[in-house]
Amino acid sequence: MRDFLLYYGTFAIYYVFVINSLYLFIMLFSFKSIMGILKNSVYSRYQALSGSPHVPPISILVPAYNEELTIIENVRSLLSLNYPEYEVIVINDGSGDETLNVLIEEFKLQLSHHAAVQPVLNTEKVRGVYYNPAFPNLYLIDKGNGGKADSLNAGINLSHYPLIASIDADSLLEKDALIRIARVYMENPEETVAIGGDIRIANGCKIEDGIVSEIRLPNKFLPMLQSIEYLKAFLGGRIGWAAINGLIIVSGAFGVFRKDYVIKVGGYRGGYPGEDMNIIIKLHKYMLENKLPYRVAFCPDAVCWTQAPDTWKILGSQRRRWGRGNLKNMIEYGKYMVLRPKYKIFGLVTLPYNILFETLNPYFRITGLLALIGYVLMDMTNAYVLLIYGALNILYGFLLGIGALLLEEIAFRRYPRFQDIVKMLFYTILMFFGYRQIGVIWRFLGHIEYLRNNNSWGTMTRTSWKAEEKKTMSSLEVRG
Amino acid sequence: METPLTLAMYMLYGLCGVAALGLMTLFVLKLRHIAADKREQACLEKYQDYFFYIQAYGEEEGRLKPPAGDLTLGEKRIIQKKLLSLLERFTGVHRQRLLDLCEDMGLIEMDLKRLNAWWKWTRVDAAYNLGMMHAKEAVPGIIRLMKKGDSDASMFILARSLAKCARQEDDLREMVKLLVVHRQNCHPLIVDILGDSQLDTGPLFLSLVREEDGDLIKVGLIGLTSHVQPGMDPVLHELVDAADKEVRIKVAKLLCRDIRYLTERNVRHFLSHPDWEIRSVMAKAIGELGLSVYIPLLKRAVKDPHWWVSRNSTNSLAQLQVEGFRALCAILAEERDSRVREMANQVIQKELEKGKFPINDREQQMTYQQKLHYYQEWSRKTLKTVHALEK
Repeated sequence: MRDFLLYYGTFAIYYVFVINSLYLFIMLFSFKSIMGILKNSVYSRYQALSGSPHVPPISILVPAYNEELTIIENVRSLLSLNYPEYEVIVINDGSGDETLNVLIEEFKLQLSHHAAVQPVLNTEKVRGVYYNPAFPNLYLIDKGNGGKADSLNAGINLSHYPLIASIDADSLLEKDALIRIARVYMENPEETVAIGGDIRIANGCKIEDGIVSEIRLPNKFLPMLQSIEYLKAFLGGRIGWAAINGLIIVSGAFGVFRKDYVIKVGGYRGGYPGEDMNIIIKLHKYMLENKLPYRVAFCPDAVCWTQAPDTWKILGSQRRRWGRGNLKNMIEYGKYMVLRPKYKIFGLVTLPYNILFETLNPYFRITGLLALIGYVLMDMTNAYVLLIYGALNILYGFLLGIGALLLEEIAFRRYPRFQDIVKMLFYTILMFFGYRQIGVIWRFLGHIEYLRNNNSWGTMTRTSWKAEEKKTMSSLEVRG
Repeated sequence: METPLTLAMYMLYGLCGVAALGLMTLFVLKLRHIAADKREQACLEKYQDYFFYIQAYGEEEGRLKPPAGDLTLGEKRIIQKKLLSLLERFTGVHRQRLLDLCEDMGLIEMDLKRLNAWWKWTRVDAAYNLGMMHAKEAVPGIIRLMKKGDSDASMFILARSLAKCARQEDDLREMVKLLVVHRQNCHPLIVDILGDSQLDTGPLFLSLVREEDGDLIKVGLIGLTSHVQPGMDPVLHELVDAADKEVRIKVAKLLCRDIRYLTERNVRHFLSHPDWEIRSVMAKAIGELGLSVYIPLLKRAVKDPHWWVSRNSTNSLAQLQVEGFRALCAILAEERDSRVREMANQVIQKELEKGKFPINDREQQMTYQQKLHYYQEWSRKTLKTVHALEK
């Protein structure tokens, strides 16, 4: 029994080691691309481009469910983007709060019973479209509750432009974010089907009039840990995956898509979370099956700031939802596409990686850890085994954290102070003491919820950006 | 159990080494960046008076004087960065004098040397700077870099620099050819890049439209949307039935902007074209150009099976004052196809809903009142007819 526990535990540790090695390998692609990203970011004349008639017009879709606290700031921020031609379509997904009324009141919108909606995708019943000619590029759709995917589909039906951008209602786009993504699109419009933006944590930042005016690291424990997680995932991971055209997800918080292809693949899939991963999988599948040249790109200098959950309850709910979404996508598409040469890098690299190291991750990690603990409990003289393997895991994770911070320092330098780097490094280590393990358990619980057919969105409470701003201001004052 | 544990220990040592190296690099980089920021700040403060001088005397005669004393290389770079940012803001004489200053300070010479550096990104840096300084001497070097370079996004940085430096149309033509060779359909971006040139790019666009290569033709057609050229009509007429659909659509878009081209024959031809995009462009143009004479053709186009053609036709009718509005009401009364009726009704109601919002323009207000009056009269008559038929 002892031997079995040791062997299994050792297997689990090497499993983690292989995950980290693959992650490091992908990160090397990020390092390879980073200079190009930096130079393009600095030398592309965004100010001139944002007035160019050759930039493609974009429809920004903002699904909103119970967002009364943040929606006004967000819409105001979206209406002031540096972009030549775009429209903002807010979709009220049957909110139970005052989301609809605050928008109608703030922008003096009027119900239009006869707005032109091209019904290319099926959605819940649209109760009406609101509009005010004083805000000619703002539309508000009021519809029955059908989830985020359904809202995006309703927005597509009303949209007037060939590109669509999906943006979470609790997120703030940087003024140049859209034009930066458009530049990436314009470099290869024929083949680009989707482009993801970089998502960063806004907790702790100073926000004025819907714009992040001073970048600071979060003050609270959980948002700080998520800040590191996002940095690792977006800079370390997604730049590399995009470099080999193996990106499996474009964050639902901010991404731009070719509308014609989104319609061709049937729009967003409702009923389950993980619609952001689902649409990308469907796009890969469609393009590869039809032998069309394509790319799913990532634009790390197009930044969207989002509110990170700051309580364990809400974070747990979010992570369980991600777990459910991932499992559903792998069962629905992954198992048919994995290891089939027809699906190229996506089928041969991305999906095996995702299934083995993301979907099945909780099982190997939990059982492996339990096996090693069991082994040590049977003979305490072998406690050093647990220590060595634990150190291996932490050190490799730390190394990946350093890699992500290096990428950040080379290309973006959004956190200018030396103590920011030190703080981030400290949290990179800290996350291995409890946070990562709880994350694995949440993912596992997400799988259980999936098996029990729990498709709810879960708890998600918002904080007003103004409240966030006040909190930050007072903390800045305390800091002196 | 010795082997896996020993292996784990080796891995641990290896990781420790790499992590220490990474950590050191990170700290060194951070400290270097902080130091560079401080140096830049100090330098800008040191030459603050000089920058005031540049801005205050920018429009006076004679050349601007370079900063007094010997500049270190670091100082030269910081001053250059500042000058380049000023160049973006200024135009006319002021800008020209700044360009002369860059030359006098030896900045062009410095970057021409860097154009041959071994590291790709130093070359790209130099090309960008030379572009900002409109250095004509840099043209051959940048073309050489474009020919040798990777087909990544740095090509566009080089191309933009070349567009700024070029003094001859042929250089721009070569640049376009080098960009389209990768077949990435980035035509709008190429036209945007050409917009940075000091040359009149209109003749270039016209000559590109005459080329055989489909990509060059597309670049030319996009360029002509903002550079109307004498003599472009015959070329466009030849391309109107081109084999490439994208070319046909772009040509239709150009032709549909010109009221002289929109004879009844041509309008009929476009409204019955097999490409729905062209029918849609034509339907839209009639409304935008206010061609009320084609209302009967638009009424027919509303029945088009393609949603966008039908939609643009109804919208165009709504744009054609009261006459077009009447045609919409007529569609509502006469048409049997519920889809077409619904489409017309949507636009009629949308027009009437405009009254919910304040209309400040007197002419628009009058048109609205006329439409409302007509609609009320029309619906009263229609109701009477319905009642009479019911009896």
